[in-house]
Amino acid sequence: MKIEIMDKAKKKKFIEEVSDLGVEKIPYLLFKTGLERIRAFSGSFTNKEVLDVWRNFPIEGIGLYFGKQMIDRRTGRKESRLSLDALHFLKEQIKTIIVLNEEQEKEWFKGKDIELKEEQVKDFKGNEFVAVVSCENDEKDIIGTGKISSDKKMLGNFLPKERRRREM
Amino acid sequence: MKYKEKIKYTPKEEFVKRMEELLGSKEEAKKFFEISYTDTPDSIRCNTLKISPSELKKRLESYGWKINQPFASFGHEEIMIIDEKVGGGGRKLNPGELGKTKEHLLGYFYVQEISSMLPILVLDPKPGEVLLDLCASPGSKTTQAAALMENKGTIIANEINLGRVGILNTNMERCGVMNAIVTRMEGVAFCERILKKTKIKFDKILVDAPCSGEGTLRKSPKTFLIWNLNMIKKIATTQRRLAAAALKILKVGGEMIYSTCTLSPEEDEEVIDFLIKNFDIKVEEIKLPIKLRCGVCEFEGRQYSKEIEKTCRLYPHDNDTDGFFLCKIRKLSDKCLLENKHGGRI
Repeated sequence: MKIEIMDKAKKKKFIEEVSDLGVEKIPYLLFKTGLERIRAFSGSFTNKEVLDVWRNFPIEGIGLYFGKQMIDRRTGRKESRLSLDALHFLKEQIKTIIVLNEEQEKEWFKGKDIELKEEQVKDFKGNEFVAVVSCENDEKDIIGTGKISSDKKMLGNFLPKERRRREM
Repeated sequence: MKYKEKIKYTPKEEFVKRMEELLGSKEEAKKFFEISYTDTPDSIRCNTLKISPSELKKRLESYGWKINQPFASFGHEEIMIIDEKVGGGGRKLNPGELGKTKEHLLGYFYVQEISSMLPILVLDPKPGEVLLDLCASPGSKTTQAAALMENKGTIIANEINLGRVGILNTNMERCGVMNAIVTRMEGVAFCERILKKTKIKFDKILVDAPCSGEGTLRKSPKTFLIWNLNMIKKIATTQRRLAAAALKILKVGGEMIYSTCTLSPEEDEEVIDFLIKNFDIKVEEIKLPIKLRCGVCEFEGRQYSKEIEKTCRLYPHDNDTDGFFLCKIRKLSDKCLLENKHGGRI
């Protein structure tokens, strides 16, 4: 696995790109692995120690998959999104949320895109990433990252395959 | 696997005889084999990196399950058993039901057998420490350690098998482990390279060694079929090499847990006896709130060090768990009597 430690400038840029969600601070060491993926490391090893391990050992993973910096195939624009687990660790900062009802939540965990109701999207401008929240018996859970389509009718589902329910 | 299918598998005569010697009587051995055909209770470990035990308990109870916390008095509320035999609104779980809950998909808990939680409870990793999990997949113990360390300090989780590295990574992601580095190497080679190429020394090491699996018959009754003495002897050689190599990269004063899910003394006490004879170590006592039996100091005419009595055996019929072996070692100095002190092959 190729890893590149993100310097202050690169980290700042990534935080800016996800600031629409409310994120202002990521208190972890960030790594870029591959072209798009960003991982966060909260361990006590210094940059030098991490690189020392990387040079001498076949590393298959470091820290937690935190997000992606990529290019939207349709618009050609650069964009960034956070992973489900990143949202869990940054939940105190997250402000941009969309709440799903019970039926929508079931579909979400099947990995399907969600048809949105007008009242759910009235505060959004469209074509943006949101933290998807389920609300059941007053228990709020962040259940993933979604992207509201430009016409505000659909919520794109980025729930990883291994986090989906295979059958209900 | 259902009881009807499990009962098709029977133990070999030699296996029965060995268990009779280990347990001291035919009656005890009978109990051991009888429970092998039943399922272990549904046990889970709350992932305190994402949710508190009290909140998780409340949520799971809302599914109609009765939750017991058998280690609560020991300061570990995160360990929970979902009781199947409840009269107060509880019900038996369907296969796979736990894995499909929202709480599982979001990484709020890990489905883990009680005996498999014990090595990390005994090792007791603290935030800020540097820990090695030498044979880490599928990640139950790595994720447990990360939770106790509050994602602070560093874990190196090593695994030899590429497919199993994938499972390890998936489980670590789900549980939000952020302080770990995953490496893929054969365990002895990993330790040798740490010694030669880096200055890293570990505060704590877990060697949960690959084994013949005599303790997991309840999950894998096919072990009855593949069980044979040659396999045990072969695995024991690997285990000795892994444990010895790991000891070399442990800090002086550091702690190492050697554990297996098997009950054959060749893979358990004999490995520790080998370490005692070749390293300056102390076997430490283990205290846990369940029935543990002392390690055996004699088996089939072979005698082991008296220190071995401090190791622990966990039999399935004592606590309704899987079978397990556990030993806590403290390293007293870098002294090593093996031929090549700096990582030579054992």
